Amino acid sequence: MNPLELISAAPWKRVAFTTYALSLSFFEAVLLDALLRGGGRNALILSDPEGVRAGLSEEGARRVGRDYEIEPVACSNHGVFHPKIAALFTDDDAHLLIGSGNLTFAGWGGNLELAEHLHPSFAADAFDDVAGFFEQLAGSDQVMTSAGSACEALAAMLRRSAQGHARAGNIHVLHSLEGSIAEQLALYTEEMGGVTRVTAVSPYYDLRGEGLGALAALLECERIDLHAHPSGTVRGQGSNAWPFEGGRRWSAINVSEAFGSDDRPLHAKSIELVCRKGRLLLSGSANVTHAGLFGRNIEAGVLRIQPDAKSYWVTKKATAPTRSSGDDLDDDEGASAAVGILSACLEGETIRGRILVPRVSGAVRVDLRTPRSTRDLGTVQISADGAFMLVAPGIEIESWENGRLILGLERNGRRWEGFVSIAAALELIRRTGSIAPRLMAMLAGTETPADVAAILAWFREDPSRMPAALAAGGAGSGDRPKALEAMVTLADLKAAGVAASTNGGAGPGEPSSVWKHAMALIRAAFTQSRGPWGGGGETDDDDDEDEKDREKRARSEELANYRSLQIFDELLGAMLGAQASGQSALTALSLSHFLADRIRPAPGKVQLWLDKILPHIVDLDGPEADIAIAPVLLQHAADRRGDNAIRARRYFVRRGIDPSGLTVSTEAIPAFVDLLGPDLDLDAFLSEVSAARTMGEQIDAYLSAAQGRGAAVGFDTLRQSAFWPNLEQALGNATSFAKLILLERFQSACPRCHMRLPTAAAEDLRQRGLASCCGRTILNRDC
Amino acid sequence: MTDLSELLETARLAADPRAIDRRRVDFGGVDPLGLRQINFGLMDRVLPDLNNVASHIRPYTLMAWAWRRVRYVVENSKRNAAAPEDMRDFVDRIEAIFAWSQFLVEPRADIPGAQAMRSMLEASKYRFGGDEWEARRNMRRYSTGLISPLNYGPSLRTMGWLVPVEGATGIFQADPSLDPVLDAFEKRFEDELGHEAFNRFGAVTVKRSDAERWGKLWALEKPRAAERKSMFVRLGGARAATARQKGIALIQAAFADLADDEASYEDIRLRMADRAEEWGEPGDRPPAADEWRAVQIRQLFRLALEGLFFWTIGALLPGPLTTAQLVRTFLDSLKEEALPDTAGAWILASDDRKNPIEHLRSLQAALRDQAKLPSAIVTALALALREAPDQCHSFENPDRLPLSRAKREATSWSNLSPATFMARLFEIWIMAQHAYWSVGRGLADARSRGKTILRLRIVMDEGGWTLTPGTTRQGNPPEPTPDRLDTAISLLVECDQL
Repeated sequence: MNPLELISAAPWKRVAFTTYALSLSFFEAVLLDALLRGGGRNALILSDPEGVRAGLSEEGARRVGRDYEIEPVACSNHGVFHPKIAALFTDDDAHLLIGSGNLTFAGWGGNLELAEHLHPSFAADAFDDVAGFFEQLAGSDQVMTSAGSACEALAAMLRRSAQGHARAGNIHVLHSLEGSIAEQLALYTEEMGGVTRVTAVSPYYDLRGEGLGALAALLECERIDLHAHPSGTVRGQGSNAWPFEGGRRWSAINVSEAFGSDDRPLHAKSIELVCRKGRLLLSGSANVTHAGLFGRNIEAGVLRIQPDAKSYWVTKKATAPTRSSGDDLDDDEGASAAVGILSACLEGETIRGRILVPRVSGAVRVDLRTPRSTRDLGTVQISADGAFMLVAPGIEIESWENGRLILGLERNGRRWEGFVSIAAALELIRRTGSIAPRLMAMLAGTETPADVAAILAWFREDPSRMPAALAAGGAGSGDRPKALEAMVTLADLKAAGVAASTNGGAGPGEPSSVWKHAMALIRAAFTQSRGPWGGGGETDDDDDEDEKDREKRARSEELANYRSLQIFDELLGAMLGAQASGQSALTALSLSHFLADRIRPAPGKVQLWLDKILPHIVDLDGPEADIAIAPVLLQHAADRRGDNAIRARRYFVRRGIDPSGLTVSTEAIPAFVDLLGPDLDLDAFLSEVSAARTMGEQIDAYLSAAQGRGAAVGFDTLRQSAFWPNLEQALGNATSFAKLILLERFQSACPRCHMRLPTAAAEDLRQRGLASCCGRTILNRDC
Repeated sequence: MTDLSELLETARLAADPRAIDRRRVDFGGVDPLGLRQINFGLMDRVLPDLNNVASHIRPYTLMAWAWRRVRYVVENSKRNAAAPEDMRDFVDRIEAIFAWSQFLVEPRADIPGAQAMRSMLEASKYRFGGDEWEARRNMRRYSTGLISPLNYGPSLRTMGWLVPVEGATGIFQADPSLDPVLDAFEKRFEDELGHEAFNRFGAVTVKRSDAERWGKLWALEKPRAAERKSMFVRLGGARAATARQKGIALIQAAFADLADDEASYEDIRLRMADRAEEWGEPGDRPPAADEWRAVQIRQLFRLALEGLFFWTIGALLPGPLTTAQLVRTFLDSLKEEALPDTAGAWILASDDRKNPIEHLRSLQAALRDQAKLPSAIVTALALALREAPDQCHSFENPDRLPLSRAKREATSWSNLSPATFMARLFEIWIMAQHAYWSVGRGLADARSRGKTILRLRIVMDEGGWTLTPGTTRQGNPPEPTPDRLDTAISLLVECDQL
């Protein structure tokens, strides 16, 4: 069987794994990959401290704590947490994988391992049993973990999934939190009329066969045959491939059909018990050792109960393996010197955690390691139960970007370490569903064209998901007509030539702070300049020898970019609609720059975006307004019309900004600059804007002069207009002045006769501030 | 994706536990440490918008002419409009005819797609219509065609030969200022313009003899004076991006400084990266030479680390090794009697002032010999770290290990012994960097349901670092990233500017 097929077979909403050994790089490169491909998310690893310790040494595995959780589970009685269970859940269904393989490359195909794929439809008892296992994990004195509530939730989901299914009683899961595996096994053998033959398959035994001896005694079966795997067994530290000092009572056989022809090293663990009334078959995590079957370890395995069985393992005589120098005496050497393990979670600026093994209390030094730095966090008090709490300001954003936070505690040369889960990230995964990995990629700066297209589509689906306070909705529609490729007209060609949890909130009410926080970070990501995606066949991961791959990538990226531009055009309508009241204009500006930066569309497209967005920016006083100033100047400077400085000035003045107090920096908008005017001197243009006067300002100056409140200067454009003779006369003549019609706001009809002005005159009045009707001059101050 | 119900049915029918299948792994990836993108960024500071393929002028002219011809056909149509796909098909046809004609005249013509064109070379005529043509056309658009993103496509736009038509993806017009150039180009085959291939959308048939004749009229390597002039204006003249103007001027300055008409491309590359004192006329060395040297220093750094990764795979082939064992094997290979006490007095104490390209070539040679590789890596790293800048550029993502970050970290390790220094280097710059990028790229593919390949080659397991199951050979040694210089020189030569 290929368990990865199950991992990628459905959009699992919750996945939990238990393991002893752990390779995080395997988990991220293989399992997380398969999970994502199936649309799954929300993975939790419950691992023995030994596995966590291995993970801590894997500096390259950076998604831990952010894209998935890891929780250590320690045994308080010096045993190890050894079960290998995978539980996979959709809303209304669950599957279990229970076997012998750890979460490592070897455990998922490198070794000879066994696994059972169970479903409530035929193994409901097993789901009850595993639910019981997780319940006991949450409450047992034998266990030290911070994952109690997660285990209880898993148990509840397992019980729910098994509701309504028949209990056939033929497949159970035995676990050692109920009592020893061997004793539970013995109870079943009694029901089956007693054992006549036992065959064990195990990579490890006690050196002197204590476990075997105890099992034989318990089952009242003197002889147990042991599978001697032709390709050897996985070598474990301090383990023995055979009961070398256990006497001659254990016969070496080869379970040839089931295992013998597999040339991988054996790590599978299974016991076949042939009984008078049938067959029992146990497989799972328990080695045939005293610790595995009787002792301190936490183990789990599937027991198949086959009354009246007709088929049994076929065995042949074999030779026991010879003892090599690698077979050690049982020992725990080195364990005491290993780094201690803790569990921790970052919520906002607070880290809450607990030391699991070895226990300590009192004051300890604390440090926090990220992929980019190590910070000293001072001293913290550990309570008697190992719990602690400390403040870690400013770490959250970095953790979102980089993942992998390792908290270290130290006292008297002794050190404890553990991964810090980022509560907000995990909450985001839970709430946003399948888009979460793409949002995570966006935050980490590793987004692809397909990610951006998908995120934009997600925003379009429901614009209220957008960062910032966009109140507008309605643009999204599942029934959107497919965009048709319109005819391209000669005019287009000429023009080109010339131009050279899914609602996003905490529920029906207000969005949660976590959500707002996450969206603020997404928005911040959109304001970053990350440069164009590698185009032109020059990307870093292309295999030069695989031309088809490059073609495929080029094609899919081009399509994704095209899609992003299309979606953004639609989204822009929603963001700038009347309901939005300009509140999303700055977000739209950031998004447009992000897309311009990444995709580098045609300059005309970018100009069009700015033409749409900039008029909607109503407030240039806010903390983010700086990002708008340079685009405003750039857009006007790139416009070749003669009055561009005046129009730029009008833009600022209307928003209550005096351009002479502005400075311009294009650092935040390199793509706009590249596309719209790499050679434009915006500082010089700003000087022009500062020196220019809008028609409104000129009209004000004129009015001041006419009313004797100011000098007759500052209205040069009026002097050059066709209306100047009338205006000049009114300057010194109160009667003439009284005949002028003054508008505070533009209107397209004459205020005197109420007739609509001719289009050209109305446009002049709107743009240039002057028109005439009824033999009078009309002045519009609002231009 | 496997069907869940099938898996469930198999599980339901199983009477015994089942053995987990051996994983079938497709390995892949050519950027194991994620270092290459910064190389591209640095190249963009000297020779932006060029790639390593688009090295002739004529394809630029041809594509601009083809799009201008689209306009001509539309103007002469009754509707004054056409479907975008018809327009694209017309241009695809012209460029396919061009490629066909060039291969007919010269089977080794320096344009992409000789292999794919082979079947057409035998045909007496070809119908540009129907399924075969559509399949060929669609393939060319993204691979061997001139407009493909892998070939001339990007620079046709970024160098201003083609202007996108707003609102119509994949539709372009020639820059109007090119009209005299395109007129001159067209003049050579104006007598042929009556052929339906140049005058209508939709299926047309072209005889091999026609194509062969046209091939000589619009030959790849014979651009007209107007084309040459127009290209230079865009390559390194007034219409070029400022950075490229400086980069092109640097090439010309280096060539002039060599004062050797027979100077090879490699000679020019070396001189461009030389320190001022190596120049015949140090005062003639343009400032852009510093940028070029930075490109080559980064190339050296990247190849040194990828070389170390390559060496590590070789070292792990016999079995797992701990970091300490790897370091010992590596340092033993240096065959130095005694190393200094600290890294600061060893790899960080280099006063090497050689040209990075010389080290690059030595490293390339050493990559064929596992035993000699460590020494070449140390030499390369020493120079790269010595010349590493203090600050990084905005495009240098820290995750891609910019040299400035490497220098900071190496300096912080300077008091460590060479062995401990190398242990840090192995664990952080090689193993962690490799895992991070391999996983990141795989997950990006996974998010888009893209290819499933395993890029991860080295993992931590019991016994230390080990190769991922299925890794049975060292593979091909890494190569420097092609630096676009050959393209730039080729275009300059065609422009009569070198």
